Amino acid sequence: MIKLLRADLTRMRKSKSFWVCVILSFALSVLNSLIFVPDIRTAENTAKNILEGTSNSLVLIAVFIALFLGTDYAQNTIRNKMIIGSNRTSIYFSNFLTVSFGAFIISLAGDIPEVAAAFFGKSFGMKAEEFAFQMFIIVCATIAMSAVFTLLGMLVTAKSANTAISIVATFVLSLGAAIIMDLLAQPEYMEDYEIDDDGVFVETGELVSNPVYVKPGIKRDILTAVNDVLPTGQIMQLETGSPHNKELMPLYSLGVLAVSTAVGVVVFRRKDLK
Amino acid sequence: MEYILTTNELKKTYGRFNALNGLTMNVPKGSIYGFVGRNGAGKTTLIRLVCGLQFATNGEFTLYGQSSSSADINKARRRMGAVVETPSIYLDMTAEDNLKQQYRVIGMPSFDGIKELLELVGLPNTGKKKAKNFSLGMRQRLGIAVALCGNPDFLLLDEPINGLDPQGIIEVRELILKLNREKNITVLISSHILDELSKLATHYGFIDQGKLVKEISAEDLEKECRKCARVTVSDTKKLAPVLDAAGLEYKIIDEKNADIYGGISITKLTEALKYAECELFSVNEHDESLEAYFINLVGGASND
Repeated sequence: MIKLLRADLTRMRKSKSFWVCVILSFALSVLNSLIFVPDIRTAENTAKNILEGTSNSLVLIAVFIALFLGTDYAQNTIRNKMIIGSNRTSIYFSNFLTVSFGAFIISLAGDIPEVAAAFFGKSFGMKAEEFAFQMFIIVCATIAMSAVFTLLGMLVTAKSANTAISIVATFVLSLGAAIIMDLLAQPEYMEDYEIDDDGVFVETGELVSNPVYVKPGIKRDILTAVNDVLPTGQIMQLETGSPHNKELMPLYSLGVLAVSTAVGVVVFRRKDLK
Repeated sequence: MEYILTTNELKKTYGRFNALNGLTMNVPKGSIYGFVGRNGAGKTTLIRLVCGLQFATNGEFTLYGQSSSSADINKARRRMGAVVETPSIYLDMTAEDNLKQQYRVIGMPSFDGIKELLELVGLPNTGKKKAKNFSLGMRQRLGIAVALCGNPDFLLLDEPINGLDPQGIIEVRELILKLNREKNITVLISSHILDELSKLATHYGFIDQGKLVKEISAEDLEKECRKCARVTVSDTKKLAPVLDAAGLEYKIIDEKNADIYGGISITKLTEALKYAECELFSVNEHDESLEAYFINLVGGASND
């Protein structure tokens, strides 16, 4: 597998799509930093800004992985590995490790400008140990997402279809996490409103039960668990500054990684290739 | 005889379609094995199975004596190279970078030999030109060069001359001959371009509907290809009753030409034709072509 890993890493180093994603991640982050530098100086939210950049990187990571793995199928070069006797498990793991490293670099490129911007801030807004732990959670979540994208990339052989599916999957997972978070954050009671004679909404001063509030019970437990397990849910929780169960998040990511990789390897080992 | 590849009752099904239906064949060491069959006969499927791209539904093959079901089959694959359908090359890399990449995949200790390999396939001066800007013939030759990385002694080429111009066909043919004769590489070529194959092959395997219908050496094939006399007459309608009366086997080509099989007496034929008021213009000895042999073997149009 070392040979394959060496070959894949070299190909990634020479891949235009990889460098385009790295540069875009960096550029988006610079833009983000320029917008937020005034805030950083006053609002002490540097760490939060750094964590926020991760969502931008996820789409780029999805595109990079789909293009990188898709090239091997589109140009049939995956055959060159099999024909000379590389086993399929090694091919899968080599691809996974390569794209995970690539995803880390893309993510890092998105963090550098934010960290640089932090030097202009009055305060980091978070204890260094806490920030380091949250970054660790994000790295784990990013690698878990890379495992999911690798699963898609190795099983969907059409490059363009895989790219589209990966991007849609990123948005669906992010949107799903956002919806769940919003549901879980709903208050049990809300202010009652009425429309006055001028057609303006005014508070009645009474509290009414919130219809979208998820009561404690199985449904709330499931939504909480899904949001904790989903890497996008973890990232979003850190970005909003309200992480739940953060100590377990790296373990959840490891679980996502293990399940998606196991499924990917098992299916890929029996997959007929053209 | 020593065989590099043997298959035993190999089966591969896609849904309800039997792509390979109990294929048994033997590829002798040192041969250029022409794997002949029409489109959809199962040629590419066999190559995919041998290359490990797909798995047999039933049956097995042995490569260098290693069974396809053994754990060591991947070790045996290290001694082979293949170009399946289209050349497997990175289009945004140069020829040299493509070979370097394959060297890394194989785990070659150095890049020694890449220059010689490019010279061997006739791509020594492509410099920084990327493979996407290569002609089809150049890509095909680069694909073969990639397959040759690691010094294989068995090469599988699936339709290597499809889509090539005449010059490209000659280049690929000469390359295959060179590899076989100078480097003693056993080559299995699948093709339905029989005329071209007949210039290369030392052995043939004829496949139809997923089964091998005949396996034969080029030498024996030549003996089996029936010789015939191609006659040109004023009217083949008058010729036919004469040949029927003489009990000769024949095939009418058109209004003026016919092939007559078996030994014939020109004198007797001339006399008989004179009574039938049919003029004989010429008689030429004619070999049955590989194409005709193949059509006879697989049943011609009735098999479509």
